[in-house]
Amino acid sequence: MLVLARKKDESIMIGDNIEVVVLGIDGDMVRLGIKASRDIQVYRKEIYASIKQANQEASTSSINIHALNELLGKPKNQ
Amino acid sequence: MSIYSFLFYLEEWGWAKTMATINTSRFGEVQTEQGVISFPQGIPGFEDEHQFVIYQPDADSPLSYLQSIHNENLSFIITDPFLFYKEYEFDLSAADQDELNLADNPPLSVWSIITVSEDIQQATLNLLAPIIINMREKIGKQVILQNSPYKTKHKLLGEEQSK
Repeated sequence: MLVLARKKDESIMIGDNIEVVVLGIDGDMVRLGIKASRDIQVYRKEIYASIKQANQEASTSSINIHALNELLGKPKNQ
Repeated sequence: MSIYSFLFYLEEWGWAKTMATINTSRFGEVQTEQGVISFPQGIPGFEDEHQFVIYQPDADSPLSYLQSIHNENLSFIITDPFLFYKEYEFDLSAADQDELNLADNPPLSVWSIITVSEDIQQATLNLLAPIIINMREKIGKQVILQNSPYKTKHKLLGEEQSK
């Protein structure tokens, strides 16, 4: 892992096409600007992690699809 | 993109009526309208799984399986999110559109993964990361919506269901 220090308004380049600018620092919060071409996806890491976790929970559920179907059927019959 | 997604989604119902028979290790041979769908990046948490089929065991039910072809233990229960959340809408990022080759507006289908906890009444729908499929090229991706108000868990059975 590369470790370096930057001040406000300074930036780093990742390869030739991605620039990360430090827009502001406020206590323990850093505001970043990311300039990248449109084919680069940028996510907050915790969002990606939450999708992963949701998928893992959804895949391990051993629930029978028929039980869920019955449940979905109920409101219509009432 | 959201309106387009929805229109193409509707269009999809009248499209691709031909059934393909696919051999899966879990269900054996299944009939599926869509054939084998490739997920070039896998899906988050299962990045090595690249081929799935959508298998609807009961034609009267809104529920289907997204079943890995190679891993019989990997499947998800999926459904049409618009059936449960009529106001659901989202924009696809340019990167996602590129990845799915959507430039010339091929027919799409949109699915959400259902999570079922111990209490089946508490089943939830992942509206933050819908599965988008380019039906013409059979390419799929679970996209992560940017700047979206949605979460990974929305109640499947709730106010909207009881109308």
